[in-house]
Amino acid sequence: MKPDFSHVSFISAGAGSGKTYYLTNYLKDALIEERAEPGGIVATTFTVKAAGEIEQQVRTRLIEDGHYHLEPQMGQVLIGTVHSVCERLLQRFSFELGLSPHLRIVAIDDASDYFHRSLDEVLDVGRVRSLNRLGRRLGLDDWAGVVKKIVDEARGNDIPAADLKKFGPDNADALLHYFPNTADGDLKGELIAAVDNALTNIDVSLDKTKTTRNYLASLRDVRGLLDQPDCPWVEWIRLSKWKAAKASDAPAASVREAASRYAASPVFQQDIRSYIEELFDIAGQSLQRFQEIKTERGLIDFTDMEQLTLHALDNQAAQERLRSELQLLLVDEFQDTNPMQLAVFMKLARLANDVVFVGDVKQAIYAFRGCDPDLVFRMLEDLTEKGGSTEVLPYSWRSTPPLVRYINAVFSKVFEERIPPDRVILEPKREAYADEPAVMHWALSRGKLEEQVMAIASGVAALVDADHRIIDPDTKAERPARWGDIAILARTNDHVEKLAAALTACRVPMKMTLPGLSQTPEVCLARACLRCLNDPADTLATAEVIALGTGHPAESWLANRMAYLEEQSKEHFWGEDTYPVIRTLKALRQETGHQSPLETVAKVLNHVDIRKIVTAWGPDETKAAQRQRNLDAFLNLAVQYESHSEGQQEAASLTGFLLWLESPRSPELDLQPTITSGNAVHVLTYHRAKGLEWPVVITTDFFQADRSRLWDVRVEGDDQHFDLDQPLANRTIRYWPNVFGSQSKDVPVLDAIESSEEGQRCRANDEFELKRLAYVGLSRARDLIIIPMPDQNRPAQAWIHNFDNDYLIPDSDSMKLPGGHIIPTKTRAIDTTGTALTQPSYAPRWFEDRETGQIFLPEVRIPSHAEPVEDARVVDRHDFDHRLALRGTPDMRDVGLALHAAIAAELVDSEHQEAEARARSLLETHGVAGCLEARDAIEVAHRFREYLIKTFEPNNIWVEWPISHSTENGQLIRGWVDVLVETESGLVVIDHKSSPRPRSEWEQEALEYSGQLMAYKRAIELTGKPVIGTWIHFPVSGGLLKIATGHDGAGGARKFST
Amino acid sequence: LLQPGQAVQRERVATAIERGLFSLLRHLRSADIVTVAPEFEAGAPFKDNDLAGKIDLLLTDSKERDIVLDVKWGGERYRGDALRANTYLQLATYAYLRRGNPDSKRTSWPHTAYFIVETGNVLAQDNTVFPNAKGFSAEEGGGVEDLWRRVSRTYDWRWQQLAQGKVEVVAEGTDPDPEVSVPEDAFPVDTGADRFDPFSILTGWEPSQ
Repeated sequence: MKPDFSHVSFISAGAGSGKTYYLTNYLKDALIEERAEPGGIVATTFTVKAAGEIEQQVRTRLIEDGHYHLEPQMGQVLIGTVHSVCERLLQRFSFELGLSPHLRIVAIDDASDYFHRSLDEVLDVGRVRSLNRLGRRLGLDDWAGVVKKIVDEARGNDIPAADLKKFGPDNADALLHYFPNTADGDLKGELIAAVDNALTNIDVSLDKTKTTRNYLASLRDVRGLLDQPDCPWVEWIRLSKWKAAKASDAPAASVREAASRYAASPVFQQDIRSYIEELFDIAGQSLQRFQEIKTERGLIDFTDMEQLTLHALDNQAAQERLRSELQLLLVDEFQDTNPMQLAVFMKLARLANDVVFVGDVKQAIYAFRGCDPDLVFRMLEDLTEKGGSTEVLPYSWRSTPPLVRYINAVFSKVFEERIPPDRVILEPKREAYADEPAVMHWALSRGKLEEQVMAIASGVAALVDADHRIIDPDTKAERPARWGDIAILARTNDHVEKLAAALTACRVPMKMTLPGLSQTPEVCLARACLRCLNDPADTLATAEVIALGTGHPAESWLANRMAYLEEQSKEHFWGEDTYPVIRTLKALRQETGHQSPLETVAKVLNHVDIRKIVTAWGPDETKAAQRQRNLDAFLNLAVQYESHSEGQQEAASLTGFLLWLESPRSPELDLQPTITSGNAVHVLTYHRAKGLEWPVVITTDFFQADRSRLWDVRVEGDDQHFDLDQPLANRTIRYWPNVFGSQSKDVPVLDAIESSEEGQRCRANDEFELKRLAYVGLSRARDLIIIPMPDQNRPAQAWIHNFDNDYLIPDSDSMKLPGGHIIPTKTRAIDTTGTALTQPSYAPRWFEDRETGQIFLPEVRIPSHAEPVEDARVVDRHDFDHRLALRGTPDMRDVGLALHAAIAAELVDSEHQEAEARARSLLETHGVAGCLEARDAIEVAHRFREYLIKTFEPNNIWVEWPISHSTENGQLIRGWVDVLVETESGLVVIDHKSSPRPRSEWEQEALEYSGQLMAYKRAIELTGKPVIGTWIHFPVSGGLLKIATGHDGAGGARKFST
Repeated sequence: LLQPGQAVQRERVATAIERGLFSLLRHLRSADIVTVAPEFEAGAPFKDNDLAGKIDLLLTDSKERDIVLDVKWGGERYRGDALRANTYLQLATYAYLRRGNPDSKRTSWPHTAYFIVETGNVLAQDNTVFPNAKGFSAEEGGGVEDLWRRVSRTYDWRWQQLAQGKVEVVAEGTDPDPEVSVPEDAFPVDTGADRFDPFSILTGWEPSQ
């Protein structure tokens, strides 16, 4: 065990500071300098994609630096997400831990299902009923959801089930501390009397005001509720505020006074206490049962995996092995690790020789899903105290200098109380930037959200129309901004959808993560095919397959259906005689009977040509790509279903899959995959934008109000007894139910809670997180930040109040920053009035609209697949008069590859000392050493080379010469010329063909490759060099034939005999 | 709701039903209801057809008035709107069945109302029968008799269209066919959501861009 943490360093990597470069460099250097063996390195990343990228980049840079032998060893480095690393560690130590080496991971949806089963098992009906009634009185119906959250937090913080019950009384005491002492007497009776008095004594014939009329109507409604069992307490709070018109307010005042005593009601306080205590008690019991259910089925989920790993690291044998093996531990995105992962890393850090945590505390934005930024901050502080070091990556490589300076100015002030300036301020390193504003303020006039999003969408369209200049991220050249350069960030998924609707209305192409996968026509078609396959008598499915699959108008297939119904004897199901697509499904029915649902879905997608059909629907490339991805997602649903069936220990079947699709599932599974390519504006939430960048970023919703996490289930640590080795010790779960409903003003108890020390601390944490979220959003931009803001009407709790300062919103054409830098800015007023999305009249797409029959050309063409040229002919030939001896019946493709290599070797280095050994090795590599003598291969190559030298007197001979060019229609032609002979008068193209066919067939066969030769010729001629001959070489049968087309070669043609 | 893991939800529904039932009893008491016939089977000829159905609750009050009460889980707002706009077709059909039932000795139209379980409210066009009902007085015309006259007109018109081989597809967002003129007094074409339409995939899909 390491005595301290001096071998641990934290790398503070601000947005765009080259974090990935640093990580890959560190890993690469550790390997090159032999500071760590490949097998002794563990590196974790936040996503699977990031893991792949880092691995690939290290591999590339090892090769670039010439360390070829290290590159293949990268396979031994354990790079992956925290979960995959945990999985590998658990498998590795499964014997020591008494676990199965094959961990079965429970599907996400099933985990929630098992939890609800455990709830069912630990609760009797009476208890459920009493909680439902309690929940109704407190206005908190979803108590089961809260229990789930408590359980999740307990698991995520390694808090045992048995400890949960005791948190109940602690929380109840803490919350009720802010309530007044209980009052004696019949408070409800007194309230009812006051209400009845008001209802009787307020005379509407004397007081005809609308206020009083409305007051009485509301009072009557509540009076009915007061009689009911389980009248919600929030009605009392409402009654404590309502007023009648002045003339009648005396009885109303009595109602207010009687109602305002709710907080002192012993019944109310007991309700709150019971609710909290019950929830924690149930959480403890259901957690216990939940774990048992999974164990009974041999399943674990991701949290179990982390927890098992944490405890595995206490195992003596595992510790010893890791201490001797673990040389380097690299953790990426350290700020986003959850408490349990942090605990795992701290244990690993004690065992490793070298530990690097890379992250940016300014970008910790996942508190809402179980992360605890406070814990991360605390750990980093303690690490430094105990010998750990901190290094700051000081440069920004992403954004233009004006933008970097702007972010520095805004956020050094925003974070000044919590983060030292050296971890905020970056020095700009990017050179190229256009002469354009760096920050724009779009001043929106006040209006509804619908109007504001419309204004933003029209602003985007105007920006692209105006050819705003940016620097291309790849080519680094200046050019006008395109749709694909722009991202719009919003706070919620709901706003993302609203923005998307506005962009569509403004005809701006956009991409986003859309819900409703199952409702898309492509998935409907795939599903209808499966239904039809499953049950040929499902006529609705048949109709859908015909309508969507053939595009025939309803008039046509409806008539067909009617005719079918008229038929006297029905020998087949409807559609099987008329529609090929239904016939295909009938044929598939025979063979898919015994196949798994996944195989069946794959088969249907291929055999019914669904991919082709939905591509033809168009209407554009992005949408077509989206449709393909949606079908992939549908295929993935079949995978999910099969893993669900396995977990449930049920047989998977097509019928089961179709039923599973109908049953409610997690919304995650109904998302359409996001298309990231394509020239379209990307609309997404701030959270999803993390780790990405765009030339232009529009940050919206700064003016939206925010809610507090005070009333959520939260976890608090014991700051005074914090121990870096036991970061999860002494953590407690807080849950205070918000029993005030939507009432937020003039509620004295609520005010007391919110202004308490705990309330303030929560608020401060919320605000800090929102500041970090703003940092993540604004630091995504490479060239331009646009902040759309309404000038007025910002709510008091607007998000922007957390980070607004003198530098955030520009108000003229330039802005002077601290330090004297002046950056170009712009303010543009956009009038939002009347821009509200007038829904364009919805014109549904009908089936006959689709463009059928359009053939899409492949993006890349390989010359060897080219069709023969019609007027090609053989104009010259040479017979080596020697046929290569082959033993047995080798695969001629392998022989061809081996000969290609042998000839290339001879042409590149004819003086090689050990030519025969080299040739043998090449034959062995291609598995033909037993069929072909090395000497013979050398002989063929040698003869060929001699002939070239004698015939062409070349200046140079090149082998495997790469060619690539774009055709007029944009297709890419890519290939390699086997032999390119450079002579005084031009180039000669030669391609080897390993065909063993006899001389008599040479001409016919050589002409088949005329297309390929001509494609090479064209590519070379595009470089401006003449091609004087194109030849096919038959190394096996010993011939060389010159091919020409049109007038080519006519002059040099000579007669020859076969 | 009977599946494993659904107990909490199941009990929530049961509690809501129980609460609704108590509200209903209070409404029945305050309206002086003397007989209650649940799932009352009724039928009546209409044009060339026979209509038949079951009335959720057929009530009689102490003044011997018939009341058709249709029980709904929720949707208080749009049912209130239907009462106000005098377009509560289903409820009116039950009223027609009751009036036209051969067993019925009555020729007058029964009173009609909705009972919403979720909120425990009775919705009606007036408070003549249920004193504590939420009132939604009809904006124009009003009354079930007037509504039924329009049903009859609409039926004739649509039947004529079908006889000519015309089927007007009314899917969400489609504009009415300009060549089709809705006769005076018939119901306007309902352009409401087709969320519950099982044939929606056959009637055009996704907005064209």
